[in-house]
Order: sequence, then structure tokens, then C-alpha cells
Amino acid sequence: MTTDLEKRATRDGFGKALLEVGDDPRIIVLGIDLSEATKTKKFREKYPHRFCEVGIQEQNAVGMAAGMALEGLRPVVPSFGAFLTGRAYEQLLISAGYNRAGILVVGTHSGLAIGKDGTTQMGITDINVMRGIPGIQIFQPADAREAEQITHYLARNNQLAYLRLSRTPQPQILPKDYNFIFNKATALKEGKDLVFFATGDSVYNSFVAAEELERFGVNASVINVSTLKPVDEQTIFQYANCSKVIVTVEDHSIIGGLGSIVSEVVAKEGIGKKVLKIGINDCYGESGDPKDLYRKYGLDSEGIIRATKKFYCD
Amino acid sequence: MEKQEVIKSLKRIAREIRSRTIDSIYIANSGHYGSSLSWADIAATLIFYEMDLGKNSLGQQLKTPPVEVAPQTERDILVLSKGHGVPALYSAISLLNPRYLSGYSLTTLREINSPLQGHPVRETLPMIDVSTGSLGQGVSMAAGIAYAIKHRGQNRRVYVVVGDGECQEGQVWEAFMSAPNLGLENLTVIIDSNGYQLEGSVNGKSPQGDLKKIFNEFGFYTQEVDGHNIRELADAYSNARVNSRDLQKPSMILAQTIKGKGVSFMEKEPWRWHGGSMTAEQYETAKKELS
Repeated sequence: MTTDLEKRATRDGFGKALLEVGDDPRIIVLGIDLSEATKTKKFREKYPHRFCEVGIQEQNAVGMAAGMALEGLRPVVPSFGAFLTGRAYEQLLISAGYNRAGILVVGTHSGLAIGKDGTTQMGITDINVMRGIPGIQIFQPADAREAEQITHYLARNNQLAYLRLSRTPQPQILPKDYNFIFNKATALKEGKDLVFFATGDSVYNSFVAAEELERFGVNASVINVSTLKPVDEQTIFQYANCSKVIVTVEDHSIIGGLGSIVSEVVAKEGIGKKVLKIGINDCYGESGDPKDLYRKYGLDSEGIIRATKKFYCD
Repeated sequence: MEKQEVIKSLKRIAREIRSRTIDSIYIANSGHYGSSLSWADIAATLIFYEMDLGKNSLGQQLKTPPVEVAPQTERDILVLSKGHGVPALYSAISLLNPRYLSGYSLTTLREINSPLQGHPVRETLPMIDVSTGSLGQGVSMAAGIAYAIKHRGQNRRVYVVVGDGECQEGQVWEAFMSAPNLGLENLTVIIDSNGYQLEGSVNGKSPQGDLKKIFNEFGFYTQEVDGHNIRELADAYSNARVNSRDLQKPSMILAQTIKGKGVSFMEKEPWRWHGGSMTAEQYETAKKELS
């Protein structure tokens, strides 16, 4: 495993890739007064005629994007995931989903990792609410390079999709030769005792935790689940079935996110094993340095190790 | 054709839309009479006169059924944001071209497997281009369609019909704020101002003030018309077309209407007829008045 130490946030990967695919005349980016924060500012500067600024209007932006998609464009709607999936939920369900309008919804600032802005700006239930929309696809890259690859993939197609991004710079965790494949969960580390299914920024911390656990004689797999809906049931089954312990790790509520997704597969396949869900434990976040928040809420590698050891020994 | 003749034909069409609407809701025993009847004249004038439906049915011409409607991206678009008024739209489509109900009669309204869903569902029938029904979402979608059309340099217009009660939804105002700023001169918003919503008068719930003034301030080219006067409607659509383009502003038409228009007992007590169901006697009376 090689880890590149250069740190970039997944939102930066998205912004870079958006510029690269920007030549496509079908792409229109909706502006919701957050072009800098969502890393769409450079697109706006380069393609002002394809940047549609509406102001602080998540509902109208989603509705307009849906209308544009019905005319054959590929609209991209970027804002904080908390606002898009909260305020504009019904527009995503009806104007976009029910109308089969293929818009790309990009929710940045996911999870506790946003830090100091605090609870109201954190997307902590976004995967949960988006999952219920029939036909929607959901993605969360593990690092900025994967964010670039997923953005390239999504710019080309016409599906309704939710791309969940983070603002916190992260090390490149995926190997240099990694290539994103739709609906394919991939192993970053193989182990025989337990399996970590992780998504987003949590992939890195899970990887660090897994390496640390080797010192205690625990041999863990780490699986990056970057396509969350649909989900690669085969890979989840394969690793869950041959591991003694199943752990999910995500910077999202333990309700309705990766933990629930993996649990559903485990139940569906009748694997009959317990699942430890590490995430935001059905509570709200708070302001603070991301590192401190991860420590307090048990999402740093130490927290992951602590919870996993307890679960493993039980 | 003389304008007088056109208006006469459109009045006949509007009456037929109302009559068919009554049939379908009565048989379904479910649906919104008052909200469908209030926009029947708006619908007749839009669909059978103003809109460019492509092929041989150009804009600002009386359409002669059976009409062949062009695919969505080659003609004008109508978004019915007040989706509960859809029985009038189904009736209009059945008049436009009887084949367009694809073998289903209007009286299968709201039945399982029927394309005549309780609220419009995209592509179930020609001319149903957008699924609506959850109030407040149609104006944004219409604005998005208008933006895309303009972006591609096409000469097509988008019409969106909104309820006055529906204007209590916040999203409607988001769209009203941004559409003028985006210079969507190919968008015409028509407010079917029938004064009543499910549980009472619109003004009794959330008074809206001087809408004409407000919309002018927002940057719309705004007109106010009698929503049951075919000539006024046709002229307003035509003014909207010309003036919107010249002023680079979207158009707003405030259409003053009566809930249940065309049926005397509904007009007298419009607050009863947002939904409501009819007795056999009432049905006979309504049909007689619309014959």
C-alpha cells in the first residue's frame, strides 16, 4: 500500500475535474451563492455563460436544474449537503426523481469533518435521506483523486446522482493505479479476521486503524465503498462472509448510511453476524477543530480501534 | 379566420373542456372540480390558440383537431404547477386529438393503470411534459426549461399555470425572484387567481397584497386580465410574447377567475368546490348548464 502524503479535500478533486469536463456544452452549473466553498468558482470564471446563479435558493436551484435536464442538459447543483438534501429534499424527490430528470447533486461539507462552522452546516443525515429516492445513485470518494474520477464518470452520464464531498484535506489513500469503477467496492487491505467497510474520509482512518490492529494480532480488511447506491453486494457479501467481525465506518449518522447499507446486505444474505456501526451515534455535532471532533466522537483511528477492540473481544 | 370567429371557437372549446371535466371527475368521484373549471378558459386559449405545438399547429393560430403535437423539445411547453387542475388538461388533450388518450376514456381518471393519474405524470400523455402535484415546484421547473431553451438559442416559449393559493409556497417566490434576473423572456407565468384554496379564501390565509405592483417590482412584464374573457387572454398572451422579448423580462399574467366557473351552484359557493363531490341531480344541472 502506498499512501501519497499530499493532502487535498474531495471537494477540490471535484472542482478540478469539473473544469476538465467543462467543455461539454450540456453541463450547466447552478450557483447557490457558494461557488468558492463548493469549488465551482473556476468553472464560473471559465464558462460564465454556463453558470446559472440563482442566489440562496436550494429549492429553486434543484427545480430549475430538473427543468434543464428535461431539455437534455446535464445540470450540476452544488451546495452544502446539509442544505441541499434537507431544504430541497422534496424537490429532489419529485422535481428531479419523479420526473426522471438526470441532475448531478453535489453535497459538500459532509460530516463532523467540517469542524468549526458547527452542526447546522454539517451534512450528517444526507445519505440517509437521499437513499430513499427511487433510482438515485449515491457516491462518496475516499480521496481527491477518486473524487476526480467519479466526477468524470458522472459528467458523462444522465442519471440522477448525489455526490457527497468533504472539505477537509485528506491524504491520498487509494493506490496510484486505482481506477474508479461504478458499483465496485474495492479492498485496500486484505485480512482474515475482520473487515472494515468505510466510505469517504473515514477510509483513511479505517486504514490506519487496520494497520495498527496488526500489532495486536488482528488481521483486518479495509474496503472502500464509494458507490453507496446501488451497492456492490457481492463484494460486501464476500468479505462479510469470511470475516469474524464486521465493522462499518463513516462520518455520517449510523442511521441510514453505510452502516445500514452493509447491515441490509448482511441480513439479506443471511450471514448471521453482528455489525458494529461506527459513525455519528444518532446525535448532532458541534463546533470544534475537526481533529478534536473526530476524537470526541470516536471517528479518529484511535476511536475506531477502541470500539473495534471492544466489539472484537465481546 | 376573423378574430371574432376564433374567439367563438375557443369559447366552444372551453365549454367542451368544462363538460368533459365534469364527466370525468363525476365518474371518478374524486378530483377537483372548482380548480379545474377555473382555468378552462386559460387552457383553451393557450393550447388551442397561443401555443406553438409544432408541425402544422403553429402559435397564435386556431388549432383544428386532430392535432399532431411535436416532441417536447420541438415546441412550446405548458407546465401545470397547480397539478390538481389536471382534469381540464386531460379534457383539452382529448379534444386536441382523441388518439392521445391511447385508448383510455376520460372517465378512467384516477383509476389504477390509467395514464390519467390524479396529478399529471410526465409522458403518460402527449403534452404532459412535467410531473407536478406537490404545490410550488412547477415555476422553478418551467424556469429551468426556459433557461435551457434560451441557452440553446431556440425560439420556444414556456407557459406555467400557478394557483393563487399555491403562491403561499416559498419556492414559488424563489423562482419569481430569480426568473427576471436571469432574463427569461421566453417564460410566461399565469396565476389562476380563483380566490379559494382547500380550506377557505386565499386572502383569509395569507394575504398577498398588490400582486401586480409586486411582480412589476420583481421585474416581470405584468398584466391583469379577466381569466374567463377569451379575447383578453389571447391579447395578454400576445402582448407577453412581444413585450417580454423587447423588454427582456419574463411575463406575468394575473388572471382573475372564479372557482367552478360555468356551473352556477359552484360559482355561488366556490369555497365548497375545491374538491367536493356531486349528487346525481347536481351533475344533471351542471351538464345542462354546459351544454
